[in-house]
Amino acid sequence: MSVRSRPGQGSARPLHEVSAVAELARLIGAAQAGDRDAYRTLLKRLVPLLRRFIGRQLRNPSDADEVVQETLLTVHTARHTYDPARPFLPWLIAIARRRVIDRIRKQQRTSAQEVDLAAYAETFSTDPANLSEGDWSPRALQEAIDALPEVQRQAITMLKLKEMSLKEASGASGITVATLKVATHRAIKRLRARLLGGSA
Amino acid sequence: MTTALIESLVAVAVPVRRLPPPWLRALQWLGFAAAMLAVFSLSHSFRYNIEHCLRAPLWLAMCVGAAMTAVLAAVAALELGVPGRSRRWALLPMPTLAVWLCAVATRDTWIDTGRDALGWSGIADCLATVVLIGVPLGIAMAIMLRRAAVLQPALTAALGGVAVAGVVSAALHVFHPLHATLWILLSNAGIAALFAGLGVLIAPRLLVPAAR
Repeated sequence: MSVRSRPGQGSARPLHEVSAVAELARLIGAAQAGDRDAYRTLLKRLVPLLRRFIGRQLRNPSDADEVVQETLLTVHTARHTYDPARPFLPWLIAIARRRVIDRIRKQQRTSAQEVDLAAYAETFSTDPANLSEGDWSPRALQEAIDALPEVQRQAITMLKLKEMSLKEASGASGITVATLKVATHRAIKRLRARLLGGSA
Repeated sequence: MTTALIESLVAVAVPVRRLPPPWLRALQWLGFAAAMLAVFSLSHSFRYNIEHCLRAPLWLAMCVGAAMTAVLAAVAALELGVPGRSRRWALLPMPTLAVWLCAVATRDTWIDTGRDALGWSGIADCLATVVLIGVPLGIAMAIMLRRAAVLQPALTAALGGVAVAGVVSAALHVFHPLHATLWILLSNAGIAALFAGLGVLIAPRLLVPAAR
């Protein structure tokens, strides 16, 4: 299934697939009537279908997984619009495609506003701080990082020590990109104050 | 995570009333429009020369073109409100829209200063018609689209706006003696653009959310 394909409308579909799709249509019909077991079965069967379709559109697995969930939420919201007399897959794929487009647009907006933190690598104003360890040791640095508030410690660890991207760090921690940026900035100020004796 | 989501959705799943077919919903909206026009006609008389107009091909092309565009645009908008329907539904009102706007474009009198010239009170009357008919119809269309699951909000809302504009323009032709092309242009293309534009403005609110 690709974005341009017309699922459910092909004539050379194997018989087992046809019956599987018909079963999905039956399940959503039952779900519309309030059958929760049918609804649970339906949603569980949709997950691998959606993972396959959405996974082809989005490279990042965590993004794809989020879009699968958003699609399930939209299916829930829009389940009353499905007409059992019509094919099920075009209805489902239209919803999934919309959520993929929304995600791609959101990514484009975010990446347009994202600031590359590598530009702030030389944060300390005094040369020695940027060029050498000066009179503090890696252990002192680790202690200083350990003393940071939780969010700042997470931000500096993920972004500076593990060299994760903002998006990866955000995905791993659940902290927003904006918060990560602010936390990193504040963490660096605190570290500078503690290690070099500057003001925080 | 996904399993937990599924369980939470199943937990709140209640029986839902299936959305009627788009053509039936379009019929409901058009019935509401007809009722609006009937109520409007109680307080407003038809234009003084309606019998003459009914024999004029150009007037008929404008009026019937606007009305047919309203019908077809309403069907198209409500079809697009259902996931999986082809975007080609958007082409449905195009032939009648072309007839309607071409009829407008063939006018040759730009400003009318004679008996049929619109005075300020005539302009105010026209605007009142636009608001009194257009606003309730626009709200009704927005409610109907919200009840559906709009996935292409701008296109769908623009079509809904054109449907409203078609009814409003037809009403203006029937109730107001518009002769000068400037007014006819405003009361047709201008209103179509106005309502389609308003539709596009509210379009983001129509997009089916991930959860309601």
